[in-house]
Amino acid sequence: MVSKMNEVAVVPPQEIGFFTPIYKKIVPQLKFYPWKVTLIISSLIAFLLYMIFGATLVKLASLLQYGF
Amino acid sequence: MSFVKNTYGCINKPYITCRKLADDKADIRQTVFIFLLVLGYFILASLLRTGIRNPYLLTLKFSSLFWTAVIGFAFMVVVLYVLGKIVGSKSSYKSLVILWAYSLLPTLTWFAVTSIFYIIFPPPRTASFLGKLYTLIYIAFSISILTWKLILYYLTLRFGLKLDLIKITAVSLIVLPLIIFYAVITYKIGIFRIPFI
Repeated sequence: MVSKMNEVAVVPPQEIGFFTPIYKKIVPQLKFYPWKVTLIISSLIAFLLYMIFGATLVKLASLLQYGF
Repeated sequence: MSFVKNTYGCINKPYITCRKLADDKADIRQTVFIFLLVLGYFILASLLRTGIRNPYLLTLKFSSLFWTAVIGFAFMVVVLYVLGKIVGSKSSYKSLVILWAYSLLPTLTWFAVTSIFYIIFPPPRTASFLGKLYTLIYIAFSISILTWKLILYYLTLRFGLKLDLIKITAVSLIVLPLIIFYAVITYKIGIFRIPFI
């Protein structure tokens, strides 16, 4: 209880009006082991980008590989 | 030891870990390990870019990479601190430095993996099946790392500067053009093609 009160004292819970319920649904997914969600979503986005841009995405990958 | 624990935490429990790192009791000395890793990476990157045949060019490349990254880090911390103060942050400089140093982990991971893959699978990629497969995996990996970076960026502002989402958005709207400006400058002078932030 005390530790919880200390946490709230550091930063108050996030409220964003109308969007608060959506925020409260999304954020817990990212608090613990976020890579589980991000790996799935990133793979889907990558696949979607390939469907939209096709070979251009291959060029982007090459460009990024020179990016270090 | 706390560095290993916090690094593991930044991967698996970023929210709790960043909250702890923002605490006044957090030891700033643990960030030394992050900077040593960055240093190690720049040695690798310099070797890959210039080779070992010309020690002068190697030293020059390493120095330019290292000092640009140091300036970039300091620039980001100062900008975030000043903007935070403008929007009413009551944070300490120390917690911001610790949190922003830990936010270099995704950057370091992306650059290190990209460099290693540059050796194993040298670009350019082709439109063959394997080329496309590599592209899909690499782009998915890059998006994942970017998401991790954004999570740590958000938590740095949330706990380091103690801001709410509206203020974080306001600060980000000013920070983003500055990052783009920094990226363009480092690209134009041939130091980083992707900014090391």
